[in-house]
Amino acid sequence: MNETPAQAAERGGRNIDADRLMRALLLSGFGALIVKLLASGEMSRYMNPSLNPLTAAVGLIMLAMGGLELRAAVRGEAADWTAEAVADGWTERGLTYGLVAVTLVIGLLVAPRTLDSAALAGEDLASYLLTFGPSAPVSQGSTTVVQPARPIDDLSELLSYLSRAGAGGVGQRVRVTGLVARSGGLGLDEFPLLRFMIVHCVADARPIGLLVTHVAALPEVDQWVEVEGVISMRDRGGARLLAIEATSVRPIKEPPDPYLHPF
Amino acid sequence: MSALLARFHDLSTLFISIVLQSLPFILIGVFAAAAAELYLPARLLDRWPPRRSTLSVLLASLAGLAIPVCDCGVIPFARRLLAKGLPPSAAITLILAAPVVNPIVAVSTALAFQGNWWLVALRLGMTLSVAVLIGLLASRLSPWLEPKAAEVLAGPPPVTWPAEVSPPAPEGRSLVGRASAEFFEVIFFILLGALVTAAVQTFVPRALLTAVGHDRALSVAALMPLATILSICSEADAFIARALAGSFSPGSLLAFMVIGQIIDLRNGPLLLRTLGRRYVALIVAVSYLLVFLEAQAVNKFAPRL
Repeated sequence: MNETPAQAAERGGRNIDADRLMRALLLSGFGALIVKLLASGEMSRYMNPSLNPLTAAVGLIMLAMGGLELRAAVRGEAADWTAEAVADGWTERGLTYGLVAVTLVIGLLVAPRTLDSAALAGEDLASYLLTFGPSAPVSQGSTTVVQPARPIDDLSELLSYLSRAGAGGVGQRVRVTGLVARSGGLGLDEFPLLRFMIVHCVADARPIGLLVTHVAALPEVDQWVEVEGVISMRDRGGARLLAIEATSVRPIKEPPDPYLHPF
Repeated sequence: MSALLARFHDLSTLFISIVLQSLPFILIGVFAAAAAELYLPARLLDRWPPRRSTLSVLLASLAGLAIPVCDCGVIPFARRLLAKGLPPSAAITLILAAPVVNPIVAVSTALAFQGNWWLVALRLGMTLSVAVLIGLLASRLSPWLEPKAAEVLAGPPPVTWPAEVSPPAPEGRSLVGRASAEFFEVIFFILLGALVTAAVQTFVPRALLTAVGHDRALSVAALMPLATILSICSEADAFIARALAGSFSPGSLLAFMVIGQIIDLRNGPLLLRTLGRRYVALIVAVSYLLVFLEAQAVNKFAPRL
């Protein structure tokens, strides 16, 4: 049987509370995990970077909680308990500590994997290909939005531009990056460029496809590529697909932030 | 790397991302629960809210407007309010309504749907209707529900400290120590829910459910379990629903955003732990049925919402 802090005090010794010590380690572990992911840049493979300040604050709070729990443990102060946890007994508490520890080990030791075409789980990317809306002007130059002289750089800027220009953006030069994917019903010189958009975290990721045409040689699936070309429109099955007529397709390394974000 | 290994790698990435995303809201919940435990006088809520169940359920359904807690944080908070005397029916209503009926979710939904306030109002209204109905049913049916739930909903029993656990001295209890205790009370179930959600997202093709998007009745029936499986946070789910808007009816999108915050895999284990099987069965049955019918009504009377 463990000695209570009062009994320890009576004999002039300090009895470190094992639960409090374990909680201190695990709470600090969460803080350390967040610090490690933010410092290494790996957090962007889990979360929308706009949430980094909030996540950093959580990391600091958990480190502080861990520190305070450790100080209390060393002082021999007994851990607080919810009534439910007391009723649970050691087996349930051990399971909790074990599952938290396993989670931390995975987070600290296993590098995150960026979603690729395997995350589509067999779904055809064709249903996620970007299209011009039905209300968009159908002819080039029928919009008041002026086409920029420089190429539009990457998909986020392209989407923002096309939301204003609609089909008036046809002919605009662009440079976009993404993963090479495959889809049924495309020509031999075409492939869908795949990106995932996340709002909060990878769990809410949704795929976005952009048709790339006039490709000299199709790259390997899941290869990151940079496509340069001009915006065009392709009628397929009644839909007006947004397409990039490629002038160059070159392999690149995975970008530091591989996901798109709506904000 | 083999395809199977890659899928397990995806599983671990999804799992950690769900945990990281949940942590801020869990912390808010456990600190709110700790503050309620330490600073609210015992049985304070015996006197307030009013004893009449209908009024207390209605007040609880709107509590999220003043205390915007998400689905990760509301359960530990509600547990402590129960211990302070909040009626069980009001606590259930709070758990079901607060994650959606709050200003943050209203604004995020409006942002996702380009200021479509009719849709925002319908989302909040549908959630309120489910939460209030289940709260009222719970107040009428509680004597017949399982003993475990009755015990839990009556508040924690007096604590008998086992020999190996040293009770903390009352003067030594701190907000952080209590929040830490609350954290380790709920984290097992949050992690379990996150693991199941990540596994389902990794291994169950969404195409199985989204293939029926063009049929009005079937699309509602398809998106409801999808929302339960995906377990997306209430501040983010509207953006996912918006992405589905091209293929799905307004009713099915509303059903997705309402049921996903009431019944989700991530919080399922904690809800079971808190309320017991029969209360959870009541919540699942009533919420699925009511949301399905309301979504069909939206499709019939407001197909172009």
